[in-house]
Amino acid sequence: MNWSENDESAIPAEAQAPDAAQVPANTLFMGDSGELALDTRRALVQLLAGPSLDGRRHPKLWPILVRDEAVIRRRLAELFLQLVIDRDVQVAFTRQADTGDLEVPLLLRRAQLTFIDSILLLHLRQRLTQADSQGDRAVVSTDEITEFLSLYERAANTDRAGFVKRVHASIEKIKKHSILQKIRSSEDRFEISPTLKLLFSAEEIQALTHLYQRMAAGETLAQLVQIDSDEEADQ
Amino acid sequence: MKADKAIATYRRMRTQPLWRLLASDNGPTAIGLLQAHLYESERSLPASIFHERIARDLEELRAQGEDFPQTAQAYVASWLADGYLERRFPAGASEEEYELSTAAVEAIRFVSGLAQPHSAATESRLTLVIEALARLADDTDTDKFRRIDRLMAEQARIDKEIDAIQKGQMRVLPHTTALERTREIITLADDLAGDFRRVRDQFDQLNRNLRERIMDNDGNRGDVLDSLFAGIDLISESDAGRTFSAFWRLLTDPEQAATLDQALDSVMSREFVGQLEAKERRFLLRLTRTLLEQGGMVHEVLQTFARSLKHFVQSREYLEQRRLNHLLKDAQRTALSLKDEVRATDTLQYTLELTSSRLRSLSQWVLHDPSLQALPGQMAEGDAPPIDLESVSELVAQSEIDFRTLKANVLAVLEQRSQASIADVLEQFPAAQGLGSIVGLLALGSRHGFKADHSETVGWVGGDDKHRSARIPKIFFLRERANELV
Repeated sequence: MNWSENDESAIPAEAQAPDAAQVPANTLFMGDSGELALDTRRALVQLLAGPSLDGRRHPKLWPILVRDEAVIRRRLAELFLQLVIDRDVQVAFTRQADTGDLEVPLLLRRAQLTFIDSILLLHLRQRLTQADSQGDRAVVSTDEITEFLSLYERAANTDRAGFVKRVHASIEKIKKHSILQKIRSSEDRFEISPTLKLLFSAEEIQALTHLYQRMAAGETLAQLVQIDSDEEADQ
Repeated sequence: MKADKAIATYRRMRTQPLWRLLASDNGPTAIGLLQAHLYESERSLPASIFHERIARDLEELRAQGEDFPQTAQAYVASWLADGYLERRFPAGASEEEYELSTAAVEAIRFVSGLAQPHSAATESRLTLVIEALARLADDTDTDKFRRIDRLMAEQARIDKEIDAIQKGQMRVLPHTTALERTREIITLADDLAGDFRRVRDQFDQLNRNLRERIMDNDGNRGDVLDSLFAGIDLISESDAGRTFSAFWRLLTDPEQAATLDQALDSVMSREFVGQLEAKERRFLLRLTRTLLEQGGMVHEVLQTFARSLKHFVQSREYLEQRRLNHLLKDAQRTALSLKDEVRATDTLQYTLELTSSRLRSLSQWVLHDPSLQALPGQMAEGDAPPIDLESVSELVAQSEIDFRTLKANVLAVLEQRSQASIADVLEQFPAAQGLGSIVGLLALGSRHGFKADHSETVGWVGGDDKHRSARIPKIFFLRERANELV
């Protein structure tokens, strides 16, 4: 992932000799000690704010990102973040860098999933694969999701309305993380963000299956660790 | 019984969208609305605009006392479910778009054909058939001598005709026959434009089909994959693909295009064209553009499908997709086995890494300013949008502007004053033809007048008795150039 970064590291002692020409040229506001051009900074902020920099939705920033990839990568690395770019679908986003044993603060949010969330995620991922193989964009509606998820309703469940409510809550949660994006002028139809492919890769799916298997084998929920899930804490 | 086969076929057909649309209780309304919004001017509309237009029409119908209890959205949804509409989400679009299904297009054509019957047994239609048959016979004839004989006979006929013309005997088609032939051509060309839709559907179907076969083909490679690996473009090489490519080559062939344009130009300059309806004239004026636009769309679709299918196979994307499908199915199956043991809301020992961060700082605290919540006191009125030249020229083309009267009006005004702008002329002689008069005056002004740097506002009463106004460039007619107008 870090090829261009390696190229850059050939330049020694970057910190002691910042690009002298850049400093005065890019002063954008009072007290500005930044070095990047205005557009480059915009692209950087978009990546940090997330969830992605999308060539379709940010047609002006995309070429900047491609042009200044190396320097943006460097800035993100300062924050223990790694840049992921998919040039085919024109999407870029950040990921926590794999720091191994080194313990570092985490800037990116993480979503703690409930059982129903995870099933919804699997469903969306499948719809995305399906649409992909047809060469289409993936669109789902609330009704369709509810219908599919009802397969996973407990056989003994008598509270149908409660189940539907839970599904809706789950959809809301996924929406909040921008994995489902509302389509303009449609009440309950959403596009599944193509970034889900990269967020929820084959390895992740396998890990989840593995977890389900362990749960089925009786390694019960009691061992669940409450990882601090920031969005819940925020409410 | 001989009828049973037909009966079975029709029974099956009646369950399909085309017949169902024709037979439904709300059929006339549905067909009328669909025709008005997705057939006549535009072929596809973004969801919001389509909903809004249908809502507006339903409102009008309700005002006339008709009973339409549901919302526009609900009707659109049911048309979609019934297969009269299609919804797609084109790449790059911000909302979904609606267009007619092939069934709806055919229903509209069928019904409007009934409403406007043209005598089917026309002379021109027969001529077309005879010519086509004769050409088919010629072109399939393998006998060298017979072909030469026929060409000689043709040559003799041409010589005779040239002779006759030189002697002053020229046969010109009577107006009625010319009109009938023109209408026949319009029908043919209109059918052609309608066919594009069906062709695109065929490509779409084929594309899905091929991809499904690639995905389903586990284990050893199937014939589809083999062909694709061998570099065969299955979409372009299909029957529909070949037919369309031939058509597209002909349409984009410079020589053929020039012939078409020239022929259209000449026909449009003939006197009998005046007797065509405005709609028919507009159709002919736009024929080349329509064919190119709609054909171009199909061509684009064809290319995209071919390209993406090739990519799908060559990048081995399908292998990854198959693997993912297996993994997803595994995961779902395992989850299903847990459904009675785990509550839907139980938290898993699993987190999804997200790609957004949230920065929070003490500095984000701001005082609440109630005045920011207040609604703006008034709304400024926007300027009217400019009309593009294309629509103006179309207006000119379809309205018979009475230039003679306009010229007389200008001359009359110039009797009293040495110069007059278009607004001055209109002050004394209000626009009798509405926008047509304004356009006519502008046309006269651009030819014989003097254009100032600023603009002026002119007003007129439209055909609907409403006052309208427009900003137009200020053009002066001058007395010293009055003789140009005579």
